[in-house]
Amino acid sequence: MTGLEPLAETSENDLTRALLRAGKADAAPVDFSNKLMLGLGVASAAASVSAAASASTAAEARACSLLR
Amino acid sequence: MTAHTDPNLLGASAPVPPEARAEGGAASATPQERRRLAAAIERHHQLVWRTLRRFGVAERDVEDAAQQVFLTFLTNMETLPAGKEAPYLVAIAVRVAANARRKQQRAPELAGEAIEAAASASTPEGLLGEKQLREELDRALATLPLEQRAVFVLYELEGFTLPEIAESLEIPLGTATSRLRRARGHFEEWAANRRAAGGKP
Repeated sequence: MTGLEPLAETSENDLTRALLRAGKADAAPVDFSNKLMLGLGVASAAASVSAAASASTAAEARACSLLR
Repeated sequence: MTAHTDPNLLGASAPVPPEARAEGGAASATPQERRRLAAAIERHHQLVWRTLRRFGVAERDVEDAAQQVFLTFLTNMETLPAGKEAPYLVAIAVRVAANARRKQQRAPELAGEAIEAAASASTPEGLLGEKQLREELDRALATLPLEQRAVFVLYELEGFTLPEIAESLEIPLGTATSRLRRARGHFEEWAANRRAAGGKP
């Protein structure tokens, strides 16, 4: 426990809060992860990860519906 | 490649970007490694992107730098416990950013960006947009010593706890805490001066 609450919420200076909130909200371009995947040659692996995640979600949904 | 080691920032055993492997990408990785790498990119690309940007990597260079980060992750993933990916990637990104900044210092495009940013900050209106706020944030961060900036960014912007930061940067918890306190004081002082000079959010 540090007792240091995040400045984005607690600073008395509105500029400090605005700067930190802008930094927290910063986001990569929408195609950034795809470009990385392609650049590193793992786009097909990503597809299988997504497919596995979808299959897992679908299986969970089926299980939930059977339990109802 | 000779790795740059900054003993004030990271521990001596912190990961080093393997540029030699970069040319081959993940071609030599096993299917399992490739899936873990893909999952890490999917989950943590935003964190890596923001870390690289906040540590001074120009937008045009972020993709290359991020590839280095994830290649280093790939090289060392065998010894990395599951669930420790985020702090590990941050540690690599901080180091990659330090290398990238040195290259950028001689790049004319960066000088142009800096001049444009300085011009936009010269009036309060220039601070109104999100982009201008982020540029102003980067200017404020650039005034912090690197070792303080690392702790400040991870705590204030990325929401890491101090123990997590201490672990990822391989520094004692007390060191991380004191660096954060100094960085916060410095940042608040900078913002107060900026505010007094007419800057507004």
